[in-house]
Amino acid sequence: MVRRKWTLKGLALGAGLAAATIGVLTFYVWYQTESVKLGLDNGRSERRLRALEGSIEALKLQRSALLDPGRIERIARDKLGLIDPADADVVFRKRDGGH
Amino acid sequence: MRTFYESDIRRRVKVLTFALAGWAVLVAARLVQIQVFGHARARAAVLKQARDVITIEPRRGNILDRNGDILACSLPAPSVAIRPVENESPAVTRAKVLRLQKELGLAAAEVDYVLGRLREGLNYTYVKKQVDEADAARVMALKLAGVELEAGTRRDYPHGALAAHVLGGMTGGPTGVEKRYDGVLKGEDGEQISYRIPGGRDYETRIIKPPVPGRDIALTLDTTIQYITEKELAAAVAEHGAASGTAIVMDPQTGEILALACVPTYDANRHPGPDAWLNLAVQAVYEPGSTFKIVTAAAARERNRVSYSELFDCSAGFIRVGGTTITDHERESILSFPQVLIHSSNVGTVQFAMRLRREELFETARAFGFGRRTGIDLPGEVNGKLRPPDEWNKANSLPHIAIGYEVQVTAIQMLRAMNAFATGGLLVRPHLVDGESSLSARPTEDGDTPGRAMSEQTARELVDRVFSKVVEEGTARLCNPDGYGAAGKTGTAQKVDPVTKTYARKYKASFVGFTPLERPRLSIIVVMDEPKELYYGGQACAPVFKAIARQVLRYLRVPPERELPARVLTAALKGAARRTP
Repeated sequence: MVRRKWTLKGLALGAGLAAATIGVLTFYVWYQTESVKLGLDNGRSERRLRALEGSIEALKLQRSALLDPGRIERIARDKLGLIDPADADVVFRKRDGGH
Repeated sequence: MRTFYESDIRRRVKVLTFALAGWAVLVAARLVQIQVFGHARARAAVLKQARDVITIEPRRGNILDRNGDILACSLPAPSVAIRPVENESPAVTRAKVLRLQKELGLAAAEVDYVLGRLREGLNYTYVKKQVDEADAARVMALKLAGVELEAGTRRDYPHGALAAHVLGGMTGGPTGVEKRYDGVLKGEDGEQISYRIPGGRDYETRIIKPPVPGRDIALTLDTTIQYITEKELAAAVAEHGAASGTAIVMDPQTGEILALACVPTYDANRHPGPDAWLNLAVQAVYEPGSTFKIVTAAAARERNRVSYSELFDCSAGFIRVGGTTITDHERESILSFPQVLIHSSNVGTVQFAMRLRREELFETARAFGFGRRTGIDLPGEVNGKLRPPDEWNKANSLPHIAIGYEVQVTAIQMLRAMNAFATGGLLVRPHLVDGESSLSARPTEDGDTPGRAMSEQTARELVDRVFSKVVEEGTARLCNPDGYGAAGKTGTAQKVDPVTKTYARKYKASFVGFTPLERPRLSIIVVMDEPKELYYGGQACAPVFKAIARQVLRYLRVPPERELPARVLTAALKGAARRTP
């Protein structure tokens, strides 16, 4: 068996090929990692968005419950001591300021 | 010339090539076998391995009032679920479930149920449905193997019992508007698939079809008007010791329902009681009594069978027709045609009604929409009962129907009939969802087209000469809202005893009318079942009409038609155009 001698050119070519392969693989791994990371960030953002939307709905609901006419009337009458004005006490003004 | 060494290498390479090719062919053949011929089996196996395809509930649309106030809303309420974990000892599983019991307040029976399912190896078991988000977060913070959350929502009605009969509810299936517009509100289910992660300790879920959220709907109801209506009706029902009551407030020109109240009512967040769910306004029928005289009067006037100056002798206090005796609630004297109706004399009404043929009264009643659904967008509306003339008793059905017996109506039908006087003879289609039809000739669910109930002249004359006088000086003089004109008709009908099948001393009181007289803004009906002592429609229901009308007209900033004495200047509010129906 005759052992073939490695030439400098061959070694350089092999090293270049290996470097290119490692470079491509590194880029691929980096790309995949970044994609996954972005996906995770996106997922987190979506979860946060859903949570915030849920909070908005809950706040709207709370606002609606607080503005319940029955509750407002109870507060007005019981806590603030307000009473209905008599019919004659209410004057309807026209937009131009007339009566 | 090749050396032995080179030949050997070539032989070895050939053997290796054949071996590899053979191996590749075997692999390819196996793949074809599995993926082509065994596709169905493989798919089933994958799905089995995936364990579950879980339906994702979409967010249900909100129900709003005409001003955008939330009447019904869905909030996130996830469910806690558990899956069996491979190689987990029963003791660990039990400890895990007991921990969940502590966090979620589970009953002992619920714990046994969960443990039983886990012992059986069932894939997916709900530990607790619709938990608070805080509870869910606390459970997930424990990081218990196999425990997961399933997204879901909970229906919330922030005003509790307000408009419960309109909204319905979701406990025990949708009812009311929730049912009628379920297709719009519910959205489309999504799907997610769960995979067991190799090692069997955890699962990964992937949404394969995202849910489509339901759309919001805006009702024509006004929360404030609804509140006023419910408050006044409940007070009156309590004051008169009535069994139940219903009231509807409608915009006369558009048919928009501004308020619809039933007493007794229920909290829409909870399951209604056995009798509370019935929407008395559209699902319950009654004999209207004297309010039906508006139809008899219109029928007679449309055909010119009676003039406004004509007199009727009602002094006997009773009249015998076809073997039955019809009486007045109090003995009257000689009354003109308008006075007959203003004082709601049965004796006088029968006298001019007998000039009509059966078919004529029937035709007018049909033209007013009786005997068929109004088409209001609520489920379960009933037709009422108006028999065709050939089924009438030839001797006495006509006089009975003329005064509102032998005919069954719903409150919404009666309101729509009276409303025809406010619109110059046109019928509207009552509706609850903004943007639905009004005076247009849009067919109802039955395919009927609302149209003209009577001529404009008949409507105008009867309002001016009769129904406005009912409120000023007649049976409903208690209901005239100060400063505003009103028109209407009272009704007090005896109820049939379900046991003896005869009319008993139990009454259905009602008042139906509209206000103001010029450019009517509100049509209102109030019906009360079995009021005690003060059981006449003018006594029990007309004051409710007045109380509702007075407050709602002020709320809508409708200026009085008549001057009122003392004055205190108040600020005018702008930007309330949407509130004005």
